[in-house]
Amino acid sequence: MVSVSEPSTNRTDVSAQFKKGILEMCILTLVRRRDYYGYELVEEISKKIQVHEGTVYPILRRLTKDGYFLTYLQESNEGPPRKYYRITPLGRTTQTELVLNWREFNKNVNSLLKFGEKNEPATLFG
Amino acid sequence: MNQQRFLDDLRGQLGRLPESEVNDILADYREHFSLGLASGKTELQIVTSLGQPRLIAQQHLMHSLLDQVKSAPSLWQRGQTLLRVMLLFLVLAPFNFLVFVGPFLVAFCVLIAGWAVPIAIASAAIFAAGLVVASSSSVALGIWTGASLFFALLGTIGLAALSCFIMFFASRLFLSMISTYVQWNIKFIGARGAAGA
Repeated sequence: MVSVSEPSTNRTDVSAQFKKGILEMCILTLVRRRDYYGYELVEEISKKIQVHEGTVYPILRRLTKDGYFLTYLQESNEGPPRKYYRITPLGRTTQTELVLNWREFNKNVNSLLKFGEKNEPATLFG
Repeated sequence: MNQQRFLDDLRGQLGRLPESEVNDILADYREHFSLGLASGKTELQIVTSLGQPRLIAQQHLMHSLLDQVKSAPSLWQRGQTLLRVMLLFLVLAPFNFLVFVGPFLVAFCVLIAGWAVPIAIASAAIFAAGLVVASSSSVALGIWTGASLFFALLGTIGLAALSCFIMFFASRLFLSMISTYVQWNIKFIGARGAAGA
């Protein structure tokens, strides 16, 4: 068969893929708590995670298209109407799953890191 | 860069998407601007934290392409979409394009070669039939010779039909494999833009 050469899987690419997945999980988690409008969501996220704010909107669109969110417009006292995002049952189950996987993953990574710390002195002298 | 420049730039970069989708996307950023301005930020501050329009457009384009490849109903439309995706790749990610186009070209050549087989068999059959018809006026053929020629022709045509059939399924398999590969590639490039680190 056709041999598929491996694309540039360097470290930044992997961490980018990783970051995007985490971003999706964070967005799902926030919207699960209550309905958010885009601007507010972007603010909340960029307080804690460094992102290009403009790239949050494509993720919101994707999550909406995939059926995790519903959107609705609501008038506000000041400024134009705002587009709110509300989580769907599918979004809720997906969020639960993602967070469970994340916790599990986190636990395993932490135990690996601890293992590394314990063994470092030994390798220094060995 | 100010708000207008940003939005114009983004619209330009999104040019390949349907008009309604472009307007929908731009509405989100307009809302972002007006809320940002209301909270006391300057246009420049907002533009800076949003990131480059090119990068943002890339995300939107990749997502919509992914949808198109996934939802193309027929083999033919799937092929067309894939061709468009390839052209986009050339523009958006020249490096990935090289990686992407290698296997694609090989698959394409194999397909062309595969289709040559039934075409060759069929044209040989037609040529032979023509020869028989042409010579039958000058040379009287015995009934057995005629019958065996006729069945030989029938067999050849059957063989051509059979290989056409096989090639049809082979083509479909190739296309679906390529489209899986493309989807993977799109996700990969898309993610690289999103993290923007």
